[in-house]
Amino acid sequence: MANYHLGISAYYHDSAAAIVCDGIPIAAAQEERFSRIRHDKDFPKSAIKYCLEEAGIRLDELASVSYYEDPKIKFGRILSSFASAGPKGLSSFVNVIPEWLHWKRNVVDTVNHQLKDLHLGQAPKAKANQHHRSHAASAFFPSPFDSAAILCVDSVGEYQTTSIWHGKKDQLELVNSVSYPHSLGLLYSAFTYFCGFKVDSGEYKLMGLAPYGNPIYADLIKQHLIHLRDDGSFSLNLEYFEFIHGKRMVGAAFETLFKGPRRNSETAITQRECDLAASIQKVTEEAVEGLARAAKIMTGEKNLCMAGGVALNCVSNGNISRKKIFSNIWVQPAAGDAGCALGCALDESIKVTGRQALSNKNVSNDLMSGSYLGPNFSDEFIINYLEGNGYSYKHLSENVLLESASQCLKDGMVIGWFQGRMEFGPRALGARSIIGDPRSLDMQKTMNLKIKYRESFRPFAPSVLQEDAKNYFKISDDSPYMLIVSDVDEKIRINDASDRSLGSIDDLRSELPAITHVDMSARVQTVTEERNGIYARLLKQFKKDTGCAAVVNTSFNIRGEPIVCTPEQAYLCFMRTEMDVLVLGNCLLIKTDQPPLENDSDWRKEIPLD
Amino acid sequence: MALKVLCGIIYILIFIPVWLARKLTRLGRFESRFHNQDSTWDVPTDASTEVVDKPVNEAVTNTNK
Repeated sequence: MANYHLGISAYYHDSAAAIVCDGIPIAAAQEERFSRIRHDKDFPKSAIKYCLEEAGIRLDELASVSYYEDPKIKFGRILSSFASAGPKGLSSFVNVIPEWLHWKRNVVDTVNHQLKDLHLGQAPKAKANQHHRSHAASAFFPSPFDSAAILCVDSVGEYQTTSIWHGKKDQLELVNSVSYPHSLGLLYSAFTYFCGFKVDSGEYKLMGLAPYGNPIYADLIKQHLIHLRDDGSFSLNLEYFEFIHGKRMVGAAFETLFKGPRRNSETAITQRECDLAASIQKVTEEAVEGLARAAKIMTGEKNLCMAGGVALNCVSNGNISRKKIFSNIWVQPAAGDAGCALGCALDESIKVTGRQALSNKNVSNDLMSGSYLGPNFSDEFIINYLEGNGYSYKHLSENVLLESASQCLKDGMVIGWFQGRMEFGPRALGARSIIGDPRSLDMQKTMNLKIKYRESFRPFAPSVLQEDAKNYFKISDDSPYMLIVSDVDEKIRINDASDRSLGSIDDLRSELPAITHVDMSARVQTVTEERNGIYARLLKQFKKDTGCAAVVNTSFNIRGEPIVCTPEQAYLCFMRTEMDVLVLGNCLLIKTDQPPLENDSDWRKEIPLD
Repeated sequence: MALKVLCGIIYILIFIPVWLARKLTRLGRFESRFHNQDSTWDVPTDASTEVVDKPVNEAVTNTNK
């Protein structure tokens, strides 16, 4: 009889649920995709209902329920932290601690009550897993490796901010760790805050900004803020940080060190922010490289698995890949806290049934099903929706659909591409994507300003057929989840010495200008038919029609909005932006054929900026 | 509200003295003494990362010696 295990992450950010059956992920989704609240932290009731529906079970058929971290240990860390905060911590203490005493300390009981309120049967009592163990399980158990070093780096779990594990078949062994307040995630978030972006949300913007700058502050950061040691460990100089007081990340000491104030959000980005971004990126890469080398020594492994929010720093991951510290690298696509829901469910499941053996142990072959673990909508459902609303569409055979979509791309159109199961994790991987022709010089600008309505400096990523990836990029490892940055290959470069200043992203740098960042890098997704199905076949058709085996791929949403989940959300996003074509399953919709959007709300005010 | 007042009193009577003691002795993970330690791994180690500057296979061999 099949054993189903439910994992839940909630009440901090990026709430999510996942179901694992006999060691295999069956379904996983973030609550934000259902609630439409970005980084939603509430109890993930919609995500849980979806997971149960996908598995075809009720709560009383579950073998276990796991919560992604241990609230009692976390409470101990919070108290300990306040004992080092001094008088400045008083106001935060009186605001934060009553909530912890009231319910957060016993959050697992709250989870049990919330599950009961779903009226879907009696769930087993929830158990708490430890935060970094959940990350480690999410990184190792779905990976293609029998054994591996596991590196988890984030802001903070209970105490740990960095942990190295040794994964061997069904076992996870904690090898070493660095604990709060010494945290690479918090250091990166401090700079995110100082550069005027939102903490726990704008870190990827800072990473995208880094190539425009020069790392002129890197030495200053290493002299004053972080001590990187030869053994891979590190510590922060707390005199410069204010997060322990609970109100803001940094303050006057940071402003004095960097000779200027924090940038206010939504004000113009200057070269100073670019240089700060480049500097913290360089230091982060050095720190993570040191940790990877330490993980290598401590475990003697040739494979590396990674998770934790810092593992979403694909530039740093690219650095590890290029340095060849490990033969193979696998990064959990939902590396942030949402992935912990999957990790704790996997941990419980594998204790009962053991790990599933993979027949083909290359990096491409893992247990994540391409990270397509979210809801699917049949063509029948889509047609009913379109017919019901009187929208104009053509239902096409797959061949005709691919030919039409490829022709639209070739003509410079932007397509909303909605296919199959939604991705689990922050990246759109061809199931809920907006795609375009990467050869177009205008595509980057068009997508940023007319479709995503986001900052013009932000780069776009390519999806490329795996077999053709080396023709375009200097790629060492397969990158199925868009988590490893590679340089654009010399073969397709046009202007190597072009300007890297802000605004220069529109310059022609390569034969694929829309996806070439100012430093000649690209955040590549390698696509295979086995993993990505129809998306791979679209790339093959586009290659046949144009000779180009890549497309621009960005997430199907506008700035501040979670990625779309349903056909209805996709249609609304399509109509609110300047996208030209929408592909929903095998249905093709042209913008100019659609009736005007009636009674639409003032969505630019409703959707808060990220 | 009463809980907030109680928390404030506890903070002043317990947490501030602990903070003061940590400041004076410079003991604890938040203090400069910790920042100046040779290693900040939770389990002390004498491992140096220099060994893995070598190519993968050679480094593995050396580590296993």
